[in-house]
Amino acid sequence: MSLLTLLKVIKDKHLSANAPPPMRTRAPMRLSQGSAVTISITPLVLAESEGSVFGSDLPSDNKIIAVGQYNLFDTAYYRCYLSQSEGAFLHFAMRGNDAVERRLYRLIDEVDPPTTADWAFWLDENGYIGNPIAQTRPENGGNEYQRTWVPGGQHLPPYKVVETIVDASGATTTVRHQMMPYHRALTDPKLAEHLLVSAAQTDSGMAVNLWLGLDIAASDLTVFASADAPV
Amino acid sequence: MSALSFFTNVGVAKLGNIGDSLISWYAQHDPETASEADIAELGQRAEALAHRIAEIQGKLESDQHTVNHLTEQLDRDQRAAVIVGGKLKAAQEAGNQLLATQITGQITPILNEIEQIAGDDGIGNTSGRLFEAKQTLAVDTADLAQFREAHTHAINDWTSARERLSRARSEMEHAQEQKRYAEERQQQAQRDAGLLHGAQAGRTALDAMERRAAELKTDARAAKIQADSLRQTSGGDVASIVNEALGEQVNKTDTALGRLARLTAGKA
Repeated sequence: MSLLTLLKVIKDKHLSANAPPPMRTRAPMRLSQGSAVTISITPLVLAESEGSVFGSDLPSDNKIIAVGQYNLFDTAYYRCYLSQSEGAFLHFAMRGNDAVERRLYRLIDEVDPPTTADWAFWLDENGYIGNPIAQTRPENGGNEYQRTWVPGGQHLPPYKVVETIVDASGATTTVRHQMMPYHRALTDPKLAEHLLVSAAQTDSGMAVNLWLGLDIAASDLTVFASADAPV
Repeated sequence: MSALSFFTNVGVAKLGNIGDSLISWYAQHDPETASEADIAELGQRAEALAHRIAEIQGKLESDQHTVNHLTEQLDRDQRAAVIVGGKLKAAQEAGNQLLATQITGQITPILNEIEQIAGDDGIGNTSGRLFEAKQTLAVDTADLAQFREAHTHAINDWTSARERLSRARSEMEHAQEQKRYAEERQQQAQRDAGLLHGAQAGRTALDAMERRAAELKTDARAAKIQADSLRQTSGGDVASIVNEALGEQVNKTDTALGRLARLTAGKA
């Protein structure tokens, strides 16, 4: 089962009327499974005007259908998956109580490599995930993105993390990622568009996912915490 | 304005318990005459005021951050609204009602947010969160100015009172030093006086001895004159007695003269 399919299953489970008392994840800004959040389109519109292909048509009003969490480089990462856009999530990188990254990601592509050779294209020692430059398909803008974390022309092995996702029903799923973050500057150099490429493996399947991301401010989010949100 | 009148008339509403505490101190003490313990208490109350000032400064930073943040957010929303508004206008001009409706759905939340931040006029001068944040900032800025003035009053009084105390203590120590020197000088003077007295007494004794010696010489001279006179005016027996007496006078002047005096007195 691909991550996208898994999220669809989670969403369906969440809408079930007989959901058991759920486990909740305490994500930043009092976000948790079942929270409602309104996302301002202001940053999307402004980024779009500066050349972003993220788009400004993402539905503003969402519920959090699941929260994923993983750790990397002493940083806690949270993904709050949104109900109204398949595979989209609010991304937070937290060091202590400080949010060092706050982004909105939307899934732009999912590749299902059919053969071992196809997988090698993505993941072998000089595979695509980890290249200094990544490029999206023409229908997604065809833009080039630079590797974010380690500059230079050499290939880097993808970062391996295990994301634990707790959905609204409290069920837990693990996703093993082999991923690399990229970015490109927009015409306003203060703005950037991010590209996250990940070979995501669940217990039932594996696919390569590509997300586009934009930085957002805390004030771009209006959170309505669920009644059972962790304090 | 005196510190007490300042605290009672100007600062009390803003200073709260700390202001009450300072007022009660000023009501009970005069900084010019307060004791060391009272002045220390004033210092403690001024320190509490300093803590309160630090709190207000922290709140001011937060106020300023809120104003900056809202201003920035307003700027972003207004720029986004202009962009989306342009799309809406284009859609309407193109007669694309579906797109226009869609874009209206996008721009409405932005316009709502602009109104929340900047009020009906969209600039935040009369209402809205930005207006309120600016008001809060202004009030807290004024509060801080009053607190600082109050603190300056208290610190000045505390400092001058401490200086006065320090000066008084220094003068007292100086006076004690002077007193000790004076006492030492007095004791030395007494010792000196004793020595002088002893020396004077010795002189007096010497003088007495000299005077006594002179008297004795005079007596001796008188006795000789008397003897000579007797020798010249008396017979042989008397002269031999006188000679004998004078001979004894060479060896035992005092005794012979005494005998002579007795003898002469017996004759007279």
